[in-house]
Amino acid sequence: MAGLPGGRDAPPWRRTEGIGSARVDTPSTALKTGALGNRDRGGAKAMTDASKTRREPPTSPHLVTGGLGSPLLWRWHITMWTSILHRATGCALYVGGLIAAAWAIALAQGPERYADFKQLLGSWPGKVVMLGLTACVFYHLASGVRHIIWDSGHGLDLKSANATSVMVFAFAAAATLAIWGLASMTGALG
Amino acid sequence: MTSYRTPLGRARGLGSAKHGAGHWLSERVSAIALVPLVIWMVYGILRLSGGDYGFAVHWIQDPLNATLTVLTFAISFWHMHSGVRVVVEDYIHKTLTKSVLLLINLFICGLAGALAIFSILKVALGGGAL
Repeated sequence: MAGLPGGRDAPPWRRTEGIGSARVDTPSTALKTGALGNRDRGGAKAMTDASKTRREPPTSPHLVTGGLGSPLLWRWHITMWTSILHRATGCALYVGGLIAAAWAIALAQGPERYADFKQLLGSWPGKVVMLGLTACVFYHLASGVRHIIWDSGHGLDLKSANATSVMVFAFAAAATLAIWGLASMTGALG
Repeated sequence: MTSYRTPLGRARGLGSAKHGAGHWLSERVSAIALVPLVIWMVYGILRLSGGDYGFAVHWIQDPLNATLTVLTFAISFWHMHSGVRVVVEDYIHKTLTKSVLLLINLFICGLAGALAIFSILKVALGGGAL
């Protein structure tokens, strides 16, 4: 190890060992509340007694992965899901738009092609796609309204962002269930 | 708030991206227009899925349905193009790949939108083979 540029004998600011290693000695509650801050673990003691205690180099919280199964400082949050899913559902609806265009073309091509198109969408895979697209439409709709509210300068604080995330998911689920329930009652599912 | 813009830059109103807020605004305007249109569209799909070809032709020949369907298609494809354009610009950084994907996006939206609107107009104006 002696000759390595980032090894044990390197000066503290050059040492790379410990970065990204499994040495997470922080209680998971501190990790969950994000109370880690810039705390230099054992740093204060090491500063006064440098010769006896090997000082841990400061580690970026995002590098403390701790390996499999250990607590992460970085974690998924509901607002990340809403943000990513807004794009993902938007891309899925791109396909939905093309399916809608195919419907219009089939309609213009006459009864046979229209019947073929309806048969395709009415099949099991077709119904699964349509169910997914229904969820995507309602998700993207609610999430888009949330974005427009943000653009007007409202609801940008953490509490509102979290609450509206839950509302977006709840609306998408409820509206999808309601429409498919309605479809099955009106006989639209064939 | 201190502004670092020159008076000329402010008068031009094009900002650091050199094309102003036009794209951003058009995405929002189309989004707001799509809120009622999409809710109407879901209702329309629900009705159309229960009916056959004859019902669909009859439905599209209603001026209100024809107009709203054309508007939904036009604004949807406009909005789809804007949205996917931003996704490509965000994630693809190689100039050639990015340009090709942006062109494909534009051409797909333009072609599919034109085909859909022409088809609706054809049936709405009496071209449905009944």
